[in-house]
Amino acid sequence: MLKNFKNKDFITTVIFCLIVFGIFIACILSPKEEISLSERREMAQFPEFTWERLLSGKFFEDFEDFASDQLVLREPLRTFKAGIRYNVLQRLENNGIYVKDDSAVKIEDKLNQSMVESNVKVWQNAVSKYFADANIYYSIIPDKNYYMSNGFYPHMDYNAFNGIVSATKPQNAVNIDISSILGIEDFYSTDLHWKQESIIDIAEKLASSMGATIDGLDKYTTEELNNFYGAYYGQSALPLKPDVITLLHSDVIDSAKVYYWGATQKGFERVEGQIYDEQGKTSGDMYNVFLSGMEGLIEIENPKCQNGKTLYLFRDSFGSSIAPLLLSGYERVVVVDTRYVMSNVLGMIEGLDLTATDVLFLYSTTTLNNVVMR
Amino acid sequence: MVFSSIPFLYYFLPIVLITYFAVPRKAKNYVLLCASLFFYFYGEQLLVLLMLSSALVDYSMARIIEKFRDNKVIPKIALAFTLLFDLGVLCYFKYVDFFISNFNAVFGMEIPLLKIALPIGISFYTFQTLSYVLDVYRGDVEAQKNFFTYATYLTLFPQLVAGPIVRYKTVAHELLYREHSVSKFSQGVFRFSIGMGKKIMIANMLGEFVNAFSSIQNPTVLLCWLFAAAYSLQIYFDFSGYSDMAIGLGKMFGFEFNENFDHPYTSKSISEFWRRWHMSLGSWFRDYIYIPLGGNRVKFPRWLLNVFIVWFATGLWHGASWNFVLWGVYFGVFLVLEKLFLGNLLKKLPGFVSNAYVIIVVFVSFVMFGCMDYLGGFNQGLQHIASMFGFGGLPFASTNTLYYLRDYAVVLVLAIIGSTPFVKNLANKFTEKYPIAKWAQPVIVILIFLLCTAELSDASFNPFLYFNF
Repeated sequence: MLKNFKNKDFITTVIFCLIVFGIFIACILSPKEEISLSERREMAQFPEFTWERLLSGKFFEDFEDFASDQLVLREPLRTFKAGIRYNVLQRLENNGIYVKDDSAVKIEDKLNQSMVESNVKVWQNAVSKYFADANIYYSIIPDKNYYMSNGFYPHMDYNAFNGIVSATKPQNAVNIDISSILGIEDFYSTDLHWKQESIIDIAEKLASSMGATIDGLDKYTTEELNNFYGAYYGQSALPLKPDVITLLHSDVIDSAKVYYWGATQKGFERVEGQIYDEQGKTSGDMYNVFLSGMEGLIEIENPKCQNGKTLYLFRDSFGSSIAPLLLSGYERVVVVDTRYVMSNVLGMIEGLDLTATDVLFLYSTTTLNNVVMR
Repeated sequence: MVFSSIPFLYYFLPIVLITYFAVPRKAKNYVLLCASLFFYFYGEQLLVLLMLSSALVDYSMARIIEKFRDNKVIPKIALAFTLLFDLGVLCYFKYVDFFISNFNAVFGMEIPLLKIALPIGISFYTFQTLSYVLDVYRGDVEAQKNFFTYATYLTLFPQLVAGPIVRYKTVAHELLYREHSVSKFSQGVFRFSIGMGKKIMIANMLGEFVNAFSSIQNPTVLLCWLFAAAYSLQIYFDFSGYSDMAIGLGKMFGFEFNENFDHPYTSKSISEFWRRWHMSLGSWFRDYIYIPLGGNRVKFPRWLLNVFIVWFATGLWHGASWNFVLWGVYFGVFLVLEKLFLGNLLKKLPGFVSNAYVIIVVFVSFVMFGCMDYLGGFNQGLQHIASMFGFGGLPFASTNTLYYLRDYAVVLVLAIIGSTPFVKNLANKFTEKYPIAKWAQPVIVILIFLLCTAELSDASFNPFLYFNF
């Protein structure tokens, strides 16, 4: 037996068997992951067996997903793969993410004209249905690639994008251009979102354009949440340094009354909540701390303001962190995410006051280009 | 199920290996047969019955041919039935919609397409089983008397879905009397690993660029060449990598399959290219179509016709679409030209010039080959080719082009080097000079498995698009 170890064929055979059988046994015996924090999704479990699913091939399709998702040491292997790609094969991106100046950036290079058009038409529908008398504004948040591509990394034609939005927007909607005020330093390194502490000037620009006056930097105190591993951290699979989420507190923010509307069997009802969700601070995606993440309709009342003004903010996830900063200029801010609530349902919600002074459509290029609004 | 996948590597293969080596010799073929049928069922479900039908028909016809060999009529009828059945099945599943759409185009009809799903591997196993019956008819090989042994040959999972096309006579002895050894198994492991590395680390990576190409705005001449090169290399590494894995798996189970690729991109003529590219297909067409038609031992017009038939069929075998036919005929034209005068001219030129000629001709051909899947259509393919030679009105290069060149530079260099025998020759010389270098083999196996498993670990990467909210 010992003599065999001097035989390279024997060693090769042993190594192969150890790898193949070892991983097989490990995959069978290892506990199954239910959620991937890095990918923000549920992991496939062993598929349900029925003869119908077997004969249709669905069982095997699902087994492929299960086998891939539950591969033992999957996360370290993903990191290893990313390392090999970047450092050995000198690839510039992994899973569509590149890292430049310690910031992870997603490549957004394909302009989906029909998607952008249909999404902006949702604005038109909302305005014509509910907000004919309000001041209408829109503002586009460029994605990180806008600031980092430098014409080298693939990027979409932002001029064409803005042209489509401009051509499709509600006729009376006024554009508030914030692209020149933002910079890459205003975004988290490991995430697509902007930092709340960096967008006070953005909030001021939006507010002043809408004729509102909001609190300045001197009104805020900060609370830090360490170890924020953003969405791009998982996607890039690289050992990037985590970010720090800085929450801004003020008298207005801390005294605000927040109501989350949700559909129940009895219809739409609202429950009280907070601007900064305590559960979000310890969740898999800490950005959920801002207005609890995936919420379709939120009403925020500002008891410190009696000017009778209401802002309807149609937004994506970027709006969650800027809405609190706009609050000081309004008596009421209603935050709507038409990815989760259809805009034409608003009128059916008993108890929701649709009176608005200002209506602001605030979306990132990424959302308008890729996600269906309703 | 593909070889380069988690289910195959870490579920199917270990189970099959342990079962195969645990059972006595007499049961080994049954293990392989069951494993192969399951392998096919995994991807195609009840279409496994179609494959078994082909096996049964051809097994029966071969037995009849052999039993009535002295009869002047019966073997011919049996052969005709085989051809009708096998080619009929292939035509139905692969070409019926091609025929219908062309019929509609020519006669102005609107017969609806049948949209039949193409059973995976049907082109390969049909040619394999046809070659068996034809060889029995010709008396080159004895008919296999045991159906299960024959079915094991036909359905053998290492070469079932992507070749090489294994002739029955190649493995007839091994089906019953193959030997197993640690040395052979280890050679199989090494060959399989190399193939897996070629497929996952090079072909799949080049495929990322190929897939992304159609969405790149503002292409340039250089980018068009980059696509042609990347796609041509992707096809080579994908196909030859898969062949390596098939040959490696065959060795693990005691079989010796013939080589299918021999560094085709080092060729100095198209004739030579086709002696090195997909050799099992080329030899099939040579032995069963070209030579029976008379080959080149006929008058010149007949020879031209023979060449046209063979290359028309070669193109059509690759896909039911006119771009594939054109691809095949395109090579036929070059082969004729080389036979007439070009070949002699190429021999007089420096080797690198002849090689450059082959590379350009082949790269252009693969643009045609892939135009329907990757460029949006036949016209787009022609436009692409025109652009490669400066007739598309495109700029030569751009910053965007530099991005892709930079992104794929290392992979391309590895692919170019890997497509030559440089590494193999270097390894052989090194091992001769330093025998201890033979120990690189297990290290390379570990490295390839580590790299490939890491790549596969991210294959199910599927983040919730645009992040939880």
